[in-house]
Amino acid sequence: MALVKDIVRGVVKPIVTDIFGDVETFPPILLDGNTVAWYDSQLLSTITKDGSDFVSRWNDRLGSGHDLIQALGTNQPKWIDVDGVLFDAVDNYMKTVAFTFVQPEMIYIVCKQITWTVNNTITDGDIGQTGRILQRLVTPSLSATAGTYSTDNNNLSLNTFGIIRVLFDGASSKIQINETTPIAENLGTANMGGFTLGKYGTGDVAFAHMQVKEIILRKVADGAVDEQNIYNYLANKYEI
Amino acid sequence: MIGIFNTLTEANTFSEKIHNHLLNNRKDYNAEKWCVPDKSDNEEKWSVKIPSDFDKLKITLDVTNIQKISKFPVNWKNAEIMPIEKPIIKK
Repeated sequence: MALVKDIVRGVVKPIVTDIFGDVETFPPILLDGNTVAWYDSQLLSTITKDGSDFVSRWNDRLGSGHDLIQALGTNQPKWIDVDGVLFDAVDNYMKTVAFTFVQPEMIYIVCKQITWTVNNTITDGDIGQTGRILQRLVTPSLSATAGTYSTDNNNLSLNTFGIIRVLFDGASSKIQINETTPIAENLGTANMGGFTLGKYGTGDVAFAHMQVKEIILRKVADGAVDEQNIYNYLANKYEI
Repeated sequence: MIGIFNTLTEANTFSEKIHNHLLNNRKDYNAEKWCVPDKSDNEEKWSVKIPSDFDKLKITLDVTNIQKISKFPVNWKNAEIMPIEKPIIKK
């Protein structure tokens, strides 16, 4: 992998050329071995979709094998060109095979809420309530839980792409949207053990109506500098 | 669009019909099956989602006893998977 020096920040970053021929840079911390999965909707080499753009597979771009899979046609979300992957709130979701993913866990997700219904779920772990980001209480509030709900975060308006950051780490957990003030609370101690996108981890309920552009899952509580670098990468890429 | 059926057999037949049509008409369609019909928690009815591109793919819905709806009725499921707590009012 080639390296390039970021003149503005004075750091060396890996670069890749994506399928559109654009040169992409990202912070090297993402290659430190703690990134357990990285889903990029613009990297078409990682996506298996049919002629109507319904997605059956969304692979981790780092090749871990923690790939999002959906074998049933009705449950497949739709890839929307540069606008990410659309989940229809009826029955669309994707899920990895269970894998070892224990706290501390960090989720970075670039998404927008299209409609809002209490309980509808953006992410979860392999089973319900283990790494859940959900719509809760009043529009457009979001909460996170690994056993204990966070205070609601209302900083992501409907139909607006934003970056949600959640750290599940017992009493040191937090949920933050874009660069607004994080809500730092004890969110519980359940371990994710896998990743579910678009519904509650267990059963066929709480399907979200949303579009997702990129997700990064980390098995570490990123320090402030690393977290900011990852946030900046996503914010710059999607002009958030 | 969602199709509602009075029997599981009808729902399975419709799901299989959609699956076969997509295998023949939607490029690169590779699903194992279209769906497992979803049963209501409160009545003897089953649902099968109709593909959003069914019109473009000219899927004919020549089945009897289908009720087409745009979204599930509110009593379709009892899915109360978390209590709705009152907001915490900080003093």
